[in-house]
Amino acid sequence: MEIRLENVTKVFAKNGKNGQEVKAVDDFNLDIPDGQLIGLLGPSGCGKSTTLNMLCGLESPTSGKIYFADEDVTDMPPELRQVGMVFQNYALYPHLSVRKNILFPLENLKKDKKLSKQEMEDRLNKVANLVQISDLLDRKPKELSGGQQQRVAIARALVKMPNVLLLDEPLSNLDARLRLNTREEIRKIQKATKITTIFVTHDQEEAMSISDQIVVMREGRIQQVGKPQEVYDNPVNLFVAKFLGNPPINVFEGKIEDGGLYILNQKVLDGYKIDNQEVIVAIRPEGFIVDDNGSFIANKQSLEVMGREISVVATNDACVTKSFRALVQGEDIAKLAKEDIHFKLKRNKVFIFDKNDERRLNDE
Amino acid sequence: MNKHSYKAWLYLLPALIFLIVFLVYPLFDVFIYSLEESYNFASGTYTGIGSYNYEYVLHDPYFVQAVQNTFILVIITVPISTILALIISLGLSSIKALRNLYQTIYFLPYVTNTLAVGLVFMILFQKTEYSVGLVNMFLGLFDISSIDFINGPYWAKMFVLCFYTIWTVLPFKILVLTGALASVNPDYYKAAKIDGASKWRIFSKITLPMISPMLFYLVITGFIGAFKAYSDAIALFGTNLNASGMNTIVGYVYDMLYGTSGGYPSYASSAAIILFVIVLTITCINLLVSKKYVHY
Repeated sequence: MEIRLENVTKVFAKNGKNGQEVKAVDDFNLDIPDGQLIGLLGPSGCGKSTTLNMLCGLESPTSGKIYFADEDVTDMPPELRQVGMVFQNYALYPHLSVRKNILFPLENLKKDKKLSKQEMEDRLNKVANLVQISDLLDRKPKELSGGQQQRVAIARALVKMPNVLLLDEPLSNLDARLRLNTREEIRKIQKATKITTIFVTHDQEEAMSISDQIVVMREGRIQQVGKPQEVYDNPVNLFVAKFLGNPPINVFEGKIEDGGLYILNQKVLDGYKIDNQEVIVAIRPEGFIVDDNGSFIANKQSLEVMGREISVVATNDACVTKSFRALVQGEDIAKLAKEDIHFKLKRNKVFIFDKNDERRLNDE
Repeated sequence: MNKHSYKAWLYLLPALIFLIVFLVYPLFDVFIYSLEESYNFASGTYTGIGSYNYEYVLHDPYFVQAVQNTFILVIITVPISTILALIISLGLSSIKALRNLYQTIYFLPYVTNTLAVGLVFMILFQKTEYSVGLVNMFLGLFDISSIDFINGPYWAKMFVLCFYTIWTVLPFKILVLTGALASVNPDYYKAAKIDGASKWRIFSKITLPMISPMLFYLVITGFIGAFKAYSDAIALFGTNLNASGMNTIVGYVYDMLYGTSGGYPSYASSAAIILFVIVLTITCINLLVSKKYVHY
């Protein structure tokens, strides 16, 4: 089902005497096509969870409209919205068996939607097969591992065949290895069911790896929407550039003079169609090439050899952080013996931002 | 006995000594007294050993009356006070404004002296030559003829006693239940709401099982507390409870020991042992029932 959010704003009232109004979500506009997996991404407090709560109906927007297909659901109570939700802590009822947990939403159905015992059993078995928990149905939640609880939570959300599936930080309670498996699993289940799915995360890698589209948020506002690779390759501002990518992007002070990009008075790249000004330069770690003729000079601090690649930790005076990190090919190790290393830069990995408002400066 | 359990016993020793000296030994001693006929505290003598004390106590109309009163008190006050406390706690946790004020008001009876409260209840319910009492004045508005709740018919006195007991035990139960309700993770309610559960279903399928350990605790302690009721009756009906027909089992034990007709430690011991057996039986039944309905 397509979802449309139009100018959605959520303001939380003042709390206490000296409390301030908090604008959790600010003028949020988004079209989500049918059957896609969307990642809402941002640091904590950016309004992504509030957005999710408004989609499922636990919170209502202060202003703006939410549409499921063509139906205005802005003021519709959660139970009528046909949404399934997986909570960060799964919220499985501890006193009920897995079977009863999954059947719970079905037993709530009333009147003409009411299902027979057999229909319920069929739905239960179908969804249990899908998430591979058929052999766990008679256990209690506390007898399951974190990954299994997660599957049960997804099964409970899917059993009522929702139009929209919402996942709140679905992987944050799992350990690192399980996280990788589970995220593939979620992707597979979403592909199989073709349910429009929206999930919230603060982990860029998680969002990038499984989303059809990511929505980067900051302080209640959408920063950028797009396919993960597009957003990574074309960040609209410094925040997005910094938020995506691991290791993070490196930030330097620089300036544009007559189409040339200067860092520490060395011309590192040429041919920009940007007016002369001081700028912020952000370079992806993979944007460095070790080359003795390169004009970007950095002082080597240490090398981290990871086999296929080498991570060079280095610094120079233009770097706004203490040190920066460059990923270079493993075979370049011979060139890294010196203290001062010369780099050439890959132009498509270098982004230039306005010094004042941190917006990307357009090169066109 | 290996080294570890030897150490464990050593750590338990201080607590065990106190329990044995002040709980196990007295209980054992009371059981002995209850078998010794016409035991005399001062001289430490008795005339024989047997079940005579029990026969006497069980045939004593005052004791039968006390057992009847106690059972009525237990059966009426424990369920009503627990359900009432649950309703009030649910109400309290669903309001935001003035919650602290209400919590304080509901907690007041807990920190108020039993006898002072008894006095207030007497003013409310007692009928004297000068006044019919506040409650009767209120009933008069509906053309109901006045009743003497303190010195009148049995059911009226029982009503006041139950009312009073419920009123005094309510605060603690409300306190425990509001705590239990607040400790339920709100995500469960959110999940249930999204899944379309009705309010009643959320309450019966989620809230109730989640707080069932606390409810169970309140029922058990409520039963025991009500079986041991005594001061409430004194506060309302004075010290001569046998005369007013409002005695309780503990009251009977006390009267047998120290009351105006007192000085019979053997009978008192038998009555105390009978009470012990009753409470033990009821608690065991409670524990068995709880296995089925309480979710930990």
